[in-house]
Amino acid sequence: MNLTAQQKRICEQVINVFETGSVQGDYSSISIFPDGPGKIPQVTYGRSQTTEYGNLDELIQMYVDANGTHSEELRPYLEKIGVTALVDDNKFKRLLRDAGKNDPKMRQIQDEFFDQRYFQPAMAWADQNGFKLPLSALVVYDSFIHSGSIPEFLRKRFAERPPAKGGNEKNWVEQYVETRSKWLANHSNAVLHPTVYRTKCFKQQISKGNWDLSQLPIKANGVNVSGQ
Amino acid sequence: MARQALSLLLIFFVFALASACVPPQRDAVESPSQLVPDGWKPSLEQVQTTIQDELDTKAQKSQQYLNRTSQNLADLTDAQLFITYTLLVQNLDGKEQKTLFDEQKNWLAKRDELAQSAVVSKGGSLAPLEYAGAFRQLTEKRLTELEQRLAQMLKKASPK
Repeated sequence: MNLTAQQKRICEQVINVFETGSVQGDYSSISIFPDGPGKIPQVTYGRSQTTEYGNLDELIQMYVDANGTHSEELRPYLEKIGVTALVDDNKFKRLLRDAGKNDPKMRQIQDEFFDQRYFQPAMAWADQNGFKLPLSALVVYDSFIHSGSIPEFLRKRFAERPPAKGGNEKNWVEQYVETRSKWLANHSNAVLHPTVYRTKCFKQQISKGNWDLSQLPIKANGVNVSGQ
Repeated sequence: MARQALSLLLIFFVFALASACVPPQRDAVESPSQLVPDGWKPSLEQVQTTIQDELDTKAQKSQQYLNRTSQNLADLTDAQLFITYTLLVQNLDGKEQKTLFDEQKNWLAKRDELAQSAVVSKGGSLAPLEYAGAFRQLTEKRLTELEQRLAQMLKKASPK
């Protein structure tokens, strides 16, 4: 997948809006969800959210190595993350918030980290399946961020094959977005319904024929994204 | 001496008879075994309605907002269930308390299992929303069930 720097930035900014409500993303965001091992509460942190018992240790290691403003204060936590519950450690949470809010180094590290964790695997999947268009890259990247992958159960619900298997790229993307939209809008768990703002945005771009993401701004959940 | 003993026996007999004839009014008299003082039931309805209204009417809902808000609502429903469970427990005798405790313990394990099975977006930002939504639905169902039991129990116990 050959994206220009501008096209990649548009993909990131659209996802930032979907995830955090702002084009820049929220690098200091902390949430507590009961989704740790054995359903214990855990810290979820950063622009695209990584978890205490997931990959937060990796992110903090990268930040400590980069000598950020709060690196030395966060260093002692490296051996605790994922081992000792830090969900009630107010100093730890304050350091994460401060670093995300005030230290450009943390923002740079998060960009690198989330690129490795989500963007590159999404683009690798797109390459393996023969996708070439920037709007396809955005749809695939969004699915990796939102659902962790391109879910198999959704792929089984539509006929078009991916380009690598002789299918038509635009038809596949259109059918995937439509299938995903129906799944979210009609889910038995009603709290999922509002998330159709994502597929709504993609449908608008498909209907405009904005496959190269050149028609700007793109309206994502009510926010204009222009790739600046 | 014998007269005094007889008087005491009579008093005891009358007291025992009176106790046997009057149905127990568990809420009417506070006792050391009572868990919750009468009339104390924290209200979570207003805060729940406020959060739900904001969720329903807010124009732009980011994924982070939806995840946090849904978890908050799920936690509030769980707190309501905890309150109702506690009120129910204190209206049961020892054997019934043990039965309800075991039932609730099993239900809690089942809830986690079912809420977890609702998560299909593993590794994605949608996963916490899938979990919180299912958790809340299951908890609301159980809350209704326990509220009905509590209402029936209080109705039975109340003086006619």
